[in-house]
Amino acid sequence: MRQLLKFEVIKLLYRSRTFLSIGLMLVLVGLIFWGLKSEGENALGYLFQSLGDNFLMQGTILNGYMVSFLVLNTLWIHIPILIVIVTGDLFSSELESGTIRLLMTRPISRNRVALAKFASAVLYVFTFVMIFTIFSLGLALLLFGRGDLIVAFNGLQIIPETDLLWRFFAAFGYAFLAMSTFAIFSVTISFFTRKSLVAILITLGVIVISTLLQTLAASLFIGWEFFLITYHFAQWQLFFYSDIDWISLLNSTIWLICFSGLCILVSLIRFNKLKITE
Amino acid sequence: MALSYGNQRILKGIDFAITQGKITALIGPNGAGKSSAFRVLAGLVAPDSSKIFLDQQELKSFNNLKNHCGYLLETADFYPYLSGKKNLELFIGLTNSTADVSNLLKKVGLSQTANKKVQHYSRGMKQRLGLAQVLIDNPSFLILDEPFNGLDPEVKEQILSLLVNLKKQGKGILVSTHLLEDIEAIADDFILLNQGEIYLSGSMEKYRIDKQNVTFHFEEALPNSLKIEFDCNIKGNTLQLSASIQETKKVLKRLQELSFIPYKIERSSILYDKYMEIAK
Repeated sequence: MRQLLKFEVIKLLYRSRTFLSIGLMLVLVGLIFWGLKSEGENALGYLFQSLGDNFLMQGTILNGYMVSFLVLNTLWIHIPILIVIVTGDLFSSELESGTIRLLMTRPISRNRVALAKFASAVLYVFTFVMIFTIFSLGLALLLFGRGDLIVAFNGLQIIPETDLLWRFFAAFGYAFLAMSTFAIFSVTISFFTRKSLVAILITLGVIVISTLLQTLAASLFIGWEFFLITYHFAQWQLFFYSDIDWISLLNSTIWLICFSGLCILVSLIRFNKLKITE
Repeated sequence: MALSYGNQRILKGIDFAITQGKITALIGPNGAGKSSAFRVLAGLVAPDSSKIFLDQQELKSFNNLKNHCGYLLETADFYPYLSGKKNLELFIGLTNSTADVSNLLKKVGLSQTANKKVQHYSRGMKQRLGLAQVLIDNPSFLILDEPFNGLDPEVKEQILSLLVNLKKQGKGILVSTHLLEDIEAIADDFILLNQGEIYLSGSMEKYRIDKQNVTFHFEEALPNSLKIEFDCNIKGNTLQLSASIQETKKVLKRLQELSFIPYKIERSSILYDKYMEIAK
């Protein structure tokens, strides 16, 4: 299994899209930083101008934590898109190019090949989220300094600086789980199509539809949001409530793990029955 | 093995053996089921029913055969964004093989282009890389589907002699090709497949003993009075007769004694004749 994982990782490292998606993420984060650095103080100062008069605030409003929170809020729907560009064709590209035929003539089991693909996808997400964390939190703290965080969930909440770091790490950890689930889902889709582009588009289509239904669920399909993948993605925000809803977080965590398990199971069944004819 | 795709029966229960130290040619027209048989052998497609024995011991499935076989199925599709060398290194790493990449590349004549990305390889180069990949685990058997596809004559000759060397090392080789005359020269056994069934199979030796049409070509016209110990037909610059390989050698020797040196000798292909029987 270790050799197969190494095999998959080396293939990922030699593909330009692996670095392209990380590069795009860095560009997006950089753009947000640039926008906030040049105009953020004015915009946020206008929004929260009365707070400073009524509350005792530690540090500036536009601090590293606030910037990192804004980055997370802005990009939580873009990051899966960048990830799926890489993971969405992990299998279909092999079918499309015929390399799977050569690979499967080697004395290795189909289950191991499939599991190595999932493991490499999760490893990629881990690397991606790590870089994302370093840049969006580490660099933000360096550039914008520290301070309390003001968030507008159920009214305004001020989270003191001393209570923030663990919340961010927990949020990024949860984001890793959510993004891994999405990557696993995209790999599963790639087991069902010979065209890489189709696999990527289907996965992206699921994000779009799920986001749309989630918006509608707020008014039309109340209670249905639990079945939507993007609903569980957005649960990272719970870490920025004064009182964290641990039950909701646990439910979403279980949902994401079960969904990932189901995706892997379906993929294994599919791959074992697949006739590799071309 | 028997194989169907939906209602279409591709292989109707074919039964054959591959022997170590022998080359077996699997031939037949397009659609005969050759490639399907290779896919079943490689475990890429599950057959409807099958039985497989290795040294008289029954194996559970064709997947169990993979530890003993090296496969090259039609075109060798490697990872295009990696070099030929890197591709081989990856495949070597998969099975903890101790194969030496440089040695493998040298064997198939790819040492000079080892660091070139596969996307810049010609079809022939990919085939040669495919053959190098087949040899990674030093398998007892080689299963080669159309290995001469896209090879130029010079490389084809190199690969043919490589196969003969591998046979001498005791490898059992199953090879399919449309180059009947070339494979006839090196094959020990043959299987002629037609519409998913074995039309004819057996030892090439038996057919080599049989008489075939032989034509000797000379630069100048031969005298009609020319006498050799075999029934022959002299027409201008050519001499035609029906002879076995041994008899052909004797005729050649006799002609040389009479100072008639042919510049070309044509012997009709046994496999070609049998192939044409079903093609008609």
